[in-house]
Amino acid sequence: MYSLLLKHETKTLVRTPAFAWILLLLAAAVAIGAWAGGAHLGRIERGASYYLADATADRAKLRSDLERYEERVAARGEQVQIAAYSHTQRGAVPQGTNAGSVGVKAAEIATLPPTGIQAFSVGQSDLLLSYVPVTTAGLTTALQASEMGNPVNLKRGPFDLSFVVIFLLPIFILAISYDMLSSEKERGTLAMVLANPLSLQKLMSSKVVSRAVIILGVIAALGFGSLLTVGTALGEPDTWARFGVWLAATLLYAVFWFLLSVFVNALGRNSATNGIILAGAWLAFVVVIPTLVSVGATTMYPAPSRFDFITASREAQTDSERNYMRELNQYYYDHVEHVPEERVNDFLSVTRAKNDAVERAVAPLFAEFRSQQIKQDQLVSNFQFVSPAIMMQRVLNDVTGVSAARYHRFVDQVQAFREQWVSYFTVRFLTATPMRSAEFDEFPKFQYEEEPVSAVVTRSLPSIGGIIVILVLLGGAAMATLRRYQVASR
Amino acid sequence: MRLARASGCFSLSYLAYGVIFLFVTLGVSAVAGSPRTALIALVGFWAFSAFIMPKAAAEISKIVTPTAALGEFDARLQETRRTGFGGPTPRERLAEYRQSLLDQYQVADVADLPVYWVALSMQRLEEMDHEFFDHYYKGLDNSYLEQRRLQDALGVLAPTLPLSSISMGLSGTDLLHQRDFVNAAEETRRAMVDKVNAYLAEMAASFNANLREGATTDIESNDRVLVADEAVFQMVDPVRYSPPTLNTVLGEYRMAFLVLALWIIVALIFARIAVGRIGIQTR
Repeated sequence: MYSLLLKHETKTLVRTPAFAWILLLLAAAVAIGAWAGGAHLGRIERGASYYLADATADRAKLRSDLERYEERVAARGEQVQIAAYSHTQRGAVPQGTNAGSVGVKAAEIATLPPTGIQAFSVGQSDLLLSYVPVTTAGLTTALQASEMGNPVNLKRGPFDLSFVVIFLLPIFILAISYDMLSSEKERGTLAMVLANPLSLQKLMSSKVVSRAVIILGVIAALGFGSLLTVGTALGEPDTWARFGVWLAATLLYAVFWFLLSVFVNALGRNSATNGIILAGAWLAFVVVIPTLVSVGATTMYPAPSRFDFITASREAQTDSERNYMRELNQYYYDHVEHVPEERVNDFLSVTRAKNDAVERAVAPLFAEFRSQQIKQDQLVSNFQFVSPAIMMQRVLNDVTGVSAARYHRFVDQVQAFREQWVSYFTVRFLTATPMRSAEFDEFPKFQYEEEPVSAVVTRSLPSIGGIIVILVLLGGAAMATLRRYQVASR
Repeated sequence: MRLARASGCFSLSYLAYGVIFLFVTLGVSAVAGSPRTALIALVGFWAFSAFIMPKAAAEISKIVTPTAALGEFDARLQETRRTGFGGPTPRERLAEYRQSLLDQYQVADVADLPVYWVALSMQRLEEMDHEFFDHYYKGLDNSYLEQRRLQDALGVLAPTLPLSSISMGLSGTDLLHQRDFVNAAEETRRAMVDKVNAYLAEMAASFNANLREGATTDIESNDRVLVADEAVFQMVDPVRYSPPTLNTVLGEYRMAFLVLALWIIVALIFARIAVGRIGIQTR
């Protein structure tokens, strides 16, 4: 009887023109979301490729100048000299001989590579720069730079798959399920159907299962299609593991909205009231609560503004200009093991010393910025359980690779790499060791060390677990309410 | 006065938005077969207008007027700074300028110039940079403005789009105000740099000796120091900034106002026809 009912419900549903339209709209939304995410990712990757090409060309030029110079010197049987630092090439000795110059001019572009499903979510990647030039000059400016974008577009947000899943999918689900029982009741067919040997629970189950199976199947198919079209590194298990978590979370989120609809239907109100309750729930869970939590987090733990950074940098810059000898002493003190016999107050040493002073001055602000961001994130994490949309957003950001945690990891690695870079060139610079062209292959190289996908899953577990707990509670509440359902109007 | 007029326009725009929703609600209620259908249609319209269309419009505007990511933008700008827009490169232009100065003062080396070469060359490089930066940044500003104007025009599908533009424009939190301020700040900076370089060119001529072959550049042992007095600081005028006039703002958002007005007319006609149909049916 149940399978017959399920078949009947599915057939009726499939033949409903409105349902076909909803599926079509869902497919269109997913296609647009995947395309927009892919286009955004392509734009960022193009930006990074320009930086890489520039850096490669600059380094190749330094090296080829140096190679020619080495050949010339070898032919004459002379010693390799070290060029004084200069913005442009001056004199016969090339800048490539000076490790201090090379450390500034031959930037290494530290790149945060996209995950296999990063095109699924833009997150904050439209603002946070995923390619940072690392030189011996300070990192402050490079890390404060943000990706370019029209502020109007940033305010409106991207039409990516995360938006489709979190915002639009619930609307489609509610549109096909808000009147599952109420419409039967209003048409007067509910009592007739239940005159058969069939419980209300089974009737409701057949209605929701028929809808859910189709919608979940379509989502899975569309998600898979998106992966094949805009996904990258499809040969990597990491990509498929991330996609698996993405799909599981998306399906659970969809089930939440189906169950909410079942619960509201079980209240026994008319279709219009169901519609209003569910639209209100959507507004509250998807729009209002996430906004309030976000505003609460940024109000309670405000991060230092860009203006604070600029002011601190300027003050430190002015101070170091005035006391450049003090900064130079500090610089030599910091590198005491490599201090040259004759301390030189040349332009590059003084500049390095001043740069270090500015970096030291803004370091506490960076630390505060990070600390406030972590507190904001912790607050959102604590309050995520009040809205499945927040839980879902956290999972999607994490699994697609646009989470704050992954970006912090990238910045930490960039900062550690910069120290390695500075150390490599500073030792040679201070000990007045001329750079040789062969050494260009030995420069430190940045390689982002991705965290294992198991770490991402572990971080997502509270959010996914939260959704599951809500599903269980909501399912139980729906069943209990359904038992008290009045089939006939009093 | 400006505030009162801006507030008036602001209130009227929001009032118009409210009126549009009122008429659309009235019309849909009259046309829909049941309250259920009306409710779904109206919630759908609101969600479409407030959430879907703004994002969709932003994506469409990015397709029509694409803008480069930072890496590409920066690399192109730096490339232009190296090579110029065709014709002589900036370095060649600087060399020509150097030669013209040497000819003018009948000397063979910049170290013998009666004006400080570094200050003059910095000023010349600044002026060349202005061409390049203006080309790229004004181009970027125009792209952003075109994107927003297209989004305003797409407001024929969703009244929220023109309203949000008008709201930002009249509040002074839009790109128009920000760019106007940045441009004014940049003009001030350019004027300041011009004056400081002119001052240096005249007053620091003795520094030219640093440019001689073998001259020391060691900061400690270098006794050529120019101390700026109060008069130097006074040559930079205090910054006085006036935001764009209300007429400029209204002119920039004329399309948005037009679209909003169109929405009122269409919503009014729709409501009138829909309500009229109810009358015929009940007779």
